[in-house]
Amino acid sequence: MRPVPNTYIVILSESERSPNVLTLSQLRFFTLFRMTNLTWLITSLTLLLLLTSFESKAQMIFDTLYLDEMEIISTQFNFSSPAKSQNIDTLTKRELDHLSLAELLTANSTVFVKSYGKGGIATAAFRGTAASHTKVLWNGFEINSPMLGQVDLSLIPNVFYDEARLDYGGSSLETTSGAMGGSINLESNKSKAREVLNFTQSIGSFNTYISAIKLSLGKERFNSKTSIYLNSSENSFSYYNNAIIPHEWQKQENAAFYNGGFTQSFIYKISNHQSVEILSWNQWNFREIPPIMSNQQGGDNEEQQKSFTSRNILKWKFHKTNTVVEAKAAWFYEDMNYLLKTTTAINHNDTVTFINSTNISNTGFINARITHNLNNGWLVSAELMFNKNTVNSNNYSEIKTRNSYDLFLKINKDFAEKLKGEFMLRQKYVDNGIIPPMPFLGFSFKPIKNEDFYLRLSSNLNYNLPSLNDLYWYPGGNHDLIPEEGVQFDAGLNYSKTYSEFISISMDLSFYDSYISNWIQWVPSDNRFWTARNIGFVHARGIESGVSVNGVIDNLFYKISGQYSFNKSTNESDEAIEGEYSGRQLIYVPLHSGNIFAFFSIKKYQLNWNSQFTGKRNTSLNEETHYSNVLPAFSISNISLAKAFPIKKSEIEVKFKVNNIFNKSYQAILWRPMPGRSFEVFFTVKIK
Amino acid sequence: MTNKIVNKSSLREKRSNLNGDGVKHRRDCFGRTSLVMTSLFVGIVLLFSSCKNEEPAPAVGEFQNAVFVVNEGNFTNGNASLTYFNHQTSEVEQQVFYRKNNAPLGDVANSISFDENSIYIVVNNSHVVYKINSITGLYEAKTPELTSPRNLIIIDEHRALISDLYENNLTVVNTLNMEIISKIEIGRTSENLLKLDNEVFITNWSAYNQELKNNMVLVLNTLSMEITDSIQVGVEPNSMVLDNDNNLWVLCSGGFMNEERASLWKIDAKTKLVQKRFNFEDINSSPTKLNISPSANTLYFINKDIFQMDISGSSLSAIPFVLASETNNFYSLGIGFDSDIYITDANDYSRNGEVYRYSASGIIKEQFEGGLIPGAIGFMN
Repeated sequence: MRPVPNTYIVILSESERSPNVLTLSQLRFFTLFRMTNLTWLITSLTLLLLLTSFESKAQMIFDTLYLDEMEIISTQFNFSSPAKSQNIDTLTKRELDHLSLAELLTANSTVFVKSYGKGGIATAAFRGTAASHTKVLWNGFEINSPMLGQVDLSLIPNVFYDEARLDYGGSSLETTSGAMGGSINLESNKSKAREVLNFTQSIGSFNTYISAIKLSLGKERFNSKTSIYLNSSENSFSYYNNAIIPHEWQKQENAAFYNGGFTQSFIYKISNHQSVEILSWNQWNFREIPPIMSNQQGGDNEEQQKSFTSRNILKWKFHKTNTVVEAKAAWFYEDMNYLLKTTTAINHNDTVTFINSTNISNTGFINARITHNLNNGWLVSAELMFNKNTVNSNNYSEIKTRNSYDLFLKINKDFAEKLKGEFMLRQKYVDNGIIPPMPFLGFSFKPIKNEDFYLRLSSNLNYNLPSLNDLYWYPGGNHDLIPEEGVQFDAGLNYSKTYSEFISISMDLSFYDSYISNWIQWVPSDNRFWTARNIGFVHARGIESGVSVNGVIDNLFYKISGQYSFNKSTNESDEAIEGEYSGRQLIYVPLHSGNIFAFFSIKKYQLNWNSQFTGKRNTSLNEETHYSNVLPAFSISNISLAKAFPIKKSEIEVKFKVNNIFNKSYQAILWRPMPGRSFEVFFTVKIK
Repeated sequence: MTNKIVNKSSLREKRSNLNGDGVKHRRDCFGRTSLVMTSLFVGIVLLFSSCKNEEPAPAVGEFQNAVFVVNEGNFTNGNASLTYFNHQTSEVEQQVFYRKNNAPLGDVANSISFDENSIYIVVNNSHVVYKINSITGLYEAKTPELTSPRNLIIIDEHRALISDLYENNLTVVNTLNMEIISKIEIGRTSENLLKLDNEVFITNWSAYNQELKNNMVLVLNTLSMEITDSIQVGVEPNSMVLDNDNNLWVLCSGGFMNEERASLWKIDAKTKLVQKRFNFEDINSSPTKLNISPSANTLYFINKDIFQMDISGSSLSAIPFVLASETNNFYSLGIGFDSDIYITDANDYSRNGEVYRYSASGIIKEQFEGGLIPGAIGFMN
C-alpha cells in the first residue's frame, strides 16, 4: 500500500480548531493523535463514500435518515486543543438560519447578547467584558466597526456564512488581537452545499417577512455560491406599558426594520493544490428607533438609522505536502447614516431637532499566512497582516486614518499523544508605535489512554486598541489613549463518549479569570462634554459549562444540548474603590445565564425546542434596590415543528414556529419592550 | 483498521434489523432512556417556563417635613427618580414616586413645584408633568403631550405656567386636571419662571430652536397673559431669585462654549432697570443654581465650589462656602426654610449621588444618598 501523502495530516491539523468531523458512533476510533497514514486514507475514503451515498436516492427512509443526521451532527467542542474553541452547533444554525447571529448566540452559546429588541442593535458581552472586546471575523477579517470597535450582531444574517466558531479568551489570538472576551469566526464555503437551490420564505407576526435563497452551482473546478436575504418587519407588537400612568396596553410604533443583501462567492480550483476564492457581501439596512416606554407621548419624532456595507475578499490558497500557504486581501466599506428629527407637540411640522449624521469607513486588509508541519509533532504557523482604516465622519474634525501591522507566530507540539502544547505570539504595530507583545501559552493533557477526556490550561496577554471614536470623536475624543491591557487565565476539561448508537455525550467545563486594565470609559470632564479615559480596571471571572447528548433510538434521532455560565465582572479601579462601588457587577452583565436546545427528528418530522435563561442584570452601579436598578431574570422558550415532503429529487419543508410560547413579558434593556408570543410559518424548497 | 469498518457496517445491520432478535433489548433501552430523558427534559422545561415575579417595593408612609430631591437620571434611560427626606427625623426614602405609583418617574425629571395640596414634577424627556398628592404621593393627573417641559410655576388657584426648552411658547395648564388651557407665544425658549405680584419673569436659557440670542429675561403680565417687557442680560441666564427689596438677581453662565464671561445681574423688578452687573473673571467659569437664603440677604451659587455672596456687596465678592474636593462633582443647590443649605453631588453620573446638608454657618449637619444625578431640590411647607 503506498503511503498516504502527508497532505491529509496537514489539512486536518489546520482544521483542528473547527473539526467538522462526523460524529459517527465510531468517532472514538478516530482520535487525531493516534491516526496513522493508513488510517487517514481509509477514513477519508469512508467519508467520501458516505457523502456520495447520501446523494443517492432514498433507500429505506431510516437509512437515509441516518445519513442525514450524520452529516448534521458536528463536534461542538474542540477536544484536544489547549485553547478553548467551540463551533456553534449546525442544527441550531439550521433552525435559526433565517435570523441573525444575535439570535444564534442567544440560543446556543454562553455569549450574552444585549439586544434592544427585534431589529434593534444587538451587541455581545463575552465573559463579562465590553462589546468592543468581542471581535467578529468574516473569513479571517474583522468586521467590527473601526469607529465604535464593536459589531451589531443583528445585522449579520446567518445565511451569509456556513460556520461560526467561538474562540474564547486568549484562543482568539489565533485570528485577532484585542478580543479579551473572545472572537466569533464566521467562515463561508466550508462545507459542500447540500442542495443546488435552497429557498425559504417565512411569514410571521407583526408583518414580518423573511426570504432566504441559497444557490450553489458549479462543476469540478469552478463553483459559484450565492445567498440572498430579505427581511422586513413592521414590528408592531403589543405590550403592557407599565412605565406610564395609568398602565395600559400599547402597540409598539416606530420600530420597523428592513434589511436586504447578498453574498457571492466564486471558488476556482486551479489545481489539486491551489485554489482561488472571491467573496463579496453587500447589505442594506434600515431601522427605526422607538422611544422608551416612559417617553411615549411627545411630538411626531423620527429616529432612524440606515447603512450600506460592502465586504469583499480575494483569497488564494496553496497546499503541498506539509505546507499550507494562504494569501488574502480584503476591502470593507461601510456608510452609516443616523437621523433624528423631533418636532414640537403642538405642530408636528415644526421641526425642533434635526441631526443627520453620516459616517463612512473604509478598511483595507492584506494578509499572508503559512502553516508548516514539521515532523515529530511540531506544527508552525506564521502570519503577516496589514490593516488600514479610514473614517470620514461629520463627528470628527477631519478624515482620520489608522494603519496597523500584525505579526503572528504559532507553534504547536504534540508530546507523546498525552500532552499537547501551543504557543502563540501576536505583535502589533500601529502608526504611533509598538503595542506590547501578546503571548499565549497553553497545554492540554489526556490522562486516560482510551478516553476522550482532556484537561487544559492556558494563560495569555492581550491588548485592545482604542476605537477611532474614542480617539477622535469631537468633542471628547482623546488621542492620548493607550490600549486596554488584559491578563488572562483559562482552565478547563472536556469529555466525550459514545456509549452506543442510542446515546453519545460530550461536555465541557471551563474556568476563566481575566484582569483588564486601562479599560476605556467615557466620563464627565471639567468641560461640559464627556471624554474618553483609560481608567477602568475590570476583574472578570467565571465558569462556562456545556453538555450535549445525542443519539438514535429506533427511528427517532435526538440531540439535546445545554449551556450554563456564571460570569462575575466587577470594576476594581481606584475610582471604584474610592466611590465604594467596586465589587458590584458591571451593568447589563448577568451573573447567571443558560440555554437549552433540543432537536428531535423522526421520519420526516422535526421538532425543535429552545429555551434561554437570563439572570438578573444591574442597570446602574448602585446597590441593588428596586426595579429600575436591577432588571429581573427571565426565560424565553420557542418551539417549532416541521415536516418535509420529498418530491422527486427535491424536498419541500413546511415549518410552524411559536416564539416566546409562554408569552413572557420581559425587558432586555430597561424600558424597552419586547414582544410576547408570536408565530411564524416557513416554506422551504430544496432542489438538489 | 479493517476491524473498524466491519464494526461500522455491523452496527448498520443491527439498526436496520428492526424486527430481529435485538428488539427486546432495544425496547428496554428505549423505554428507560426515553423515560429518563423525557422527565429530565420536562423538568428543565418547567424550570425555564416559570420565573418568580419580583417582590413589590416596600411601602412608603406619608410625606412630612418633606425635602424632595428630583433625580434626573440618564438621558434616554428612563431612570429618573424622586428621593424623599424628612428634615426633622432624617428619614430618607428612595424611588418614592415608583413605590407610590408603580410606575417610573420617567426620563430626565427636571423640577418640582408645590401648591397647597399637590406636588408637580416636570419630567422633561418624557414630555409630561405629573401631579401627585402632597401627602400620599399618589398620582392625580398628568398633562397631555408637551414638547420639552422644564419648569412649572403656579400663577393662581387654578392655573400654572410651564416653560419649554424647544417650543417658543409657554403652556398654560389647569392645575385641577392638568389639561392645557392655552399656549402663549413668546418667541423664545424658556427655562426659569419667577412670580412677583402680577408678573412672571422668564429666562431664555437656551438658543436651541431659535434664531435670537439667548440673553434675555422676559416679563409676562398674568392679567393680560402677554409679554410686556424684556430685559437684556448676559448669555445663557440659568437661574434667578428675588430678594426682599424686589430686586431680581439673574446668573448667566456666559454660554455653552464660553462665548463671554459669566455674569451676575441685579435688576429692579419693578422698573426692570439693570442696577448692577458683576462679571466673573475666569472665562471658563460656568456658575449655576443661584439661590437666596430665607432672610434674603445672602446669595449662593455653584461654580465648581459652592459660593456665597452678600447682596449688598458692590463687587463680585463671593467667598467659598463649601470647597469641592477632588472627588466632588457639585451639581445642584437648594435652601430650606430653616436656612439649611442642601448641596447635591452627582459623582460620575452613572451611580447614585449624594446630598449634603449644611447649616448657614457652613458646618455640615448630615448627608444622605440621592438617586442618579440629583438635581432640583424642593421644600414642601
